[in-house]
Amino acid sequence: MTLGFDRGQAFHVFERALALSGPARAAFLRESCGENAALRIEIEALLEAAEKDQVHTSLLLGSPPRPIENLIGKCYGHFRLVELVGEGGMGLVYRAERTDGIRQVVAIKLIARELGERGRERFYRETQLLARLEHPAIARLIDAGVEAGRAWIALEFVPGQPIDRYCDANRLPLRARVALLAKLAAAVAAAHGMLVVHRDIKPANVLVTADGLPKLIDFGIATVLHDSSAAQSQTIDVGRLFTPHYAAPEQVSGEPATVATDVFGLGALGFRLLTGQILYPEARGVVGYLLAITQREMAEPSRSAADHGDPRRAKELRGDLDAILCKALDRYPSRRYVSAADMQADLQRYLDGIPVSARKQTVGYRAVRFVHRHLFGVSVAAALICALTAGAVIYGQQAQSVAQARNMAARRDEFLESLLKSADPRSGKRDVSVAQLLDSATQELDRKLSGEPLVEASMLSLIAQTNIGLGRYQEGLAANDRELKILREHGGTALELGQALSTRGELLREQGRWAEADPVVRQAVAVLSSLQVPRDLCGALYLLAVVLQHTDRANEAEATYHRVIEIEERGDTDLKLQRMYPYQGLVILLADQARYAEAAIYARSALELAQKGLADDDPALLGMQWSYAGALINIHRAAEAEPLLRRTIEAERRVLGPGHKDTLIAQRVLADDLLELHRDAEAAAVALATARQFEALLGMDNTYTLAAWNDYAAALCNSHQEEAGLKVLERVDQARRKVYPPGDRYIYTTLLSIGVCHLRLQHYAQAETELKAASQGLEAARGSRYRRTQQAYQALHELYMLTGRSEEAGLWAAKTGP
Amino acid sequence: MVESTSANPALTVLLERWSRGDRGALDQLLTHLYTDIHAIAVRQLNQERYSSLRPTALVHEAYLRLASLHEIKLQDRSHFLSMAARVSRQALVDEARRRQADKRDGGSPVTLSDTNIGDADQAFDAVDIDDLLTELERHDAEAAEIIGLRVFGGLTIEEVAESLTLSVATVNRRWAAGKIWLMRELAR
Repeated sequence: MTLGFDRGQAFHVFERALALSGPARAAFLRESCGENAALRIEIEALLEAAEKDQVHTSLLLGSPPRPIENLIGKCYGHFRLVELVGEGGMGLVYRAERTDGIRQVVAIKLIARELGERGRERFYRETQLLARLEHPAIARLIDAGVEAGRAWIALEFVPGQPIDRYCDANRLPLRARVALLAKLAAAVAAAHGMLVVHRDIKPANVLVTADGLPKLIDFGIATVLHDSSAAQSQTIDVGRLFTPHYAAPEQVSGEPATVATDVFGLGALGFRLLTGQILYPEARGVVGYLLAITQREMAEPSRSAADHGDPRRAKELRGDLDAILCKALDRYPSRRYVSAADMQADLQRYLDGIPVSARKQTVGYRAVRFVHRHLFGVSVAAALICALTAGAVIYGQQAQSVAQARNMAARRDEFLESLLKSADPRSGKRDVSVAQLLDSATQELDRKLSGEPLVEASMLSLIAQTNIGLGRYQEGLAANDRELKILREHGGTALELGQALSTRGELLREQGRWAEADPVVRQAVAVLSSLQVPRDLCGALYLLAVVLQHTDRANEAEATYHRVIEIEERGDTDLKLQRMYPYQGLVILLADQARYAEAAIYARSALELAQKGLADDDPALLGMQWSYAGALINIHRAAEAEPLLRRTIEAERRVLGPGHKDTLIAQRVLADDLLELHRDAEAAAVALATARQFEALLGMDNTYTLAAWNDYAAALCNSHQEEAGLKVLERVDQARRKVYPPGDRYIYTTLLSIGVCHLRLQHYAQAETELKAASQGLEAARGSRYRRTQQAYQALHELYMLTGRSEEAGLWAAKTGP
Repeated sequence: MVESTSANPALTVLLERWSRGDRGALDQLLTHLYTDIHAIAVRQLNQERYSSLRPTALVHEAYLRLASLHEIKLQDRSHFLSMAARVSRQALVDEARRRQADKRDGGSPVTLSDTNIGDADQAFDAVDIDDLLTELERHDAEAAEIIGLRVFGGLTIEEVAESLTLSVATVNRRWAAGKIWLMRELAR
């Protein structure tokens, strides 16, 4: 994983920062981290770890590394500090007593962070709100203030121990643990009723008194201290304000905390109390948790207990409690309990022996999913055909009356139903009949709609789009040409023109005709920007990003993707779902820049959105699947990718057809995966078939075709058929020099493969020249962390090892990373 | 100690020469030490396939075996231990890399416990630690050395201070920072 900083450097800065405190430390951090946010986050995290470790370290070593200011006896408001009782992420915690004669013991929290003016304002506002929060299971906020720039909070002093330790030390039976959790859920619900979110529910923040009463501490404190005014704080907070193993996915990704975040927190706490395990125990540190929570499935509570040798507990958890915790811990906030009160009610139902709602809904949800799947069994293309044949008039927006429109809709549904009954989505023959339908419809158009040009244009638009879906780009372009001509001649609306231009851009993109696509897409964006049509605008902007990306303007492309995501995020549910496409664009873009870990996160997010909103065999979902598989290969999880890829290819052959571009791309990824797994013969077979199919579909001088031939050659070379591999590579090399500009990385990728072949043939001198040139070229084009660059280094290392030049071998070995 | 290397008289001679200040004896001594520690490590790894090695025990075993042959002067003890710690790091990492490369071994990693970081029974990958220390070395050789001796040799703060001729306070301070850094990086 690329960290964005050198770990040795991080140590260096960290150690120096450790010796400083207060403003001196802040100034030093600003100076030494500069714009490097990743380094800054790292140092902050190290300092925080140091803070936690401090008491322990000082005990262990006798001499504390830096003196703790002695504040015992000092006064804050009406309170005098009596004893240091602990320290949290926020700062030191003291036991304190009132100075005005009233007997009251409180816990005073001294906030380590300094608050700016706006932070201070916010601090007063929020603490006033919190002071109103009263509940027997919530430690009350008694007073708060700022003394000499330092904020302090007086909380009800709770003599007790953290809930996890309490449960374990007293060997609390399961029911008692569930009861505690229910009490906490009720307290959280009460706080939510007063619009206060905890944001940091975890065992350390729940103390249980000797009488067995649980109390949530630090309620809302995270919010109070969250200084959203500072621009940089957003990124830094990612590292600071969440606790791995208890934070919700949306917190990890830096989104604002909501009621659902606390529901997740309760779920995570419950998971710990009921199973004895934490979420993703194998994930280490903030980054590890981030990767785990965004990429891996959570173990069901019962399975987690079973895996840790507690079959009895597993049996108790199976069923209701599994369902309750899984619902609270759902990755998507919208699928969790709507409120903490609902969760509390379900826990209570469990205790009362009544069926819980989480379980019923799971069954219901499954039923819904089942229907959903079957409805979408017919591809988008078929649905469009339906509109074509049954509702041509509707599409021309010429429907005479509501009754007529309803009639059309009914006929369309009838048609859909008959299609559902007749066409088995698994027969694979559907595409053929759809294509035939399309062709006859195109011919019919002229005859039937020649007097209504704009209706004809809208039909042509549908035909063009459907042809894209079927991978029939020539037919699509022909229809699009006719459509644009009609729109220009007969004064189509700006929206229609913008849409037609977008379709054209898409057709060109699908064929890799980037240079032609660029002006067309820009025109579409310009036309659509002036209209209030976020969906169409996003479509065109997305296309623009793709074009930019493929013409080596990665920074512009990345910014454009983020612009699309931004617009879509503000849209309705459906538009929000569309984010999967820019996410996926970012996957490819980031992988190109060797930012593999980030790429995998976006790939996973895209796949999740797709799974949420698309049918199981929707071509877009299948695309997300092979994209995620590709991301897995890059983070060295090729073995996991293989079954996913095989499933995907099988589905794509069925849904899109065996010769479709997407199917072929998935096959390419599989070839790559097999190469990575050192199954070279299998890889060669897959690569050869794929290359031939690409060539038949798109011709030889095409980027996709050439990449597939390059795969094949690499596989040949790895399976000791170097001469055959070299022959293929020569063809690829010639064609690539025609297709790509000089200095393009793909030219060097070929050179790398040629070099490796010569290396295997023991033509060392030749190999050395080629590999060196390839490594330099790739490094210049994509940096040293790029997978192919690394492969070039590896090959050079091998070359020098084989020729006994161990010193040079060492140099190249040093450049290869994990 | 069940086994004894007393059958190897050359070691006695080498130790004697070394303790008299003959630096040339050191290379040979290190070679012996390496073979020795590597053999112990491999034996333990093969016997307890799924548990992890305790480098501290390894180094001290080597020390005791040699010390039984020859009376190492007290002030030399820490120097010897630091040397053994470095050798041990090398031996363990070599073995781990060999296992990674050898497919028959399934690439099972060599993990270390009782390393002065984390809980005593918490296991860490030897190669990971080695990589981190190598990276740190480029920026701060002294810190890397201190951490290496603590982790791969189980030397006490005092022993580290003595062998590197640093003050105990410095070692304390640097180790406190180094430990936190190492823990975090290993948890990544």
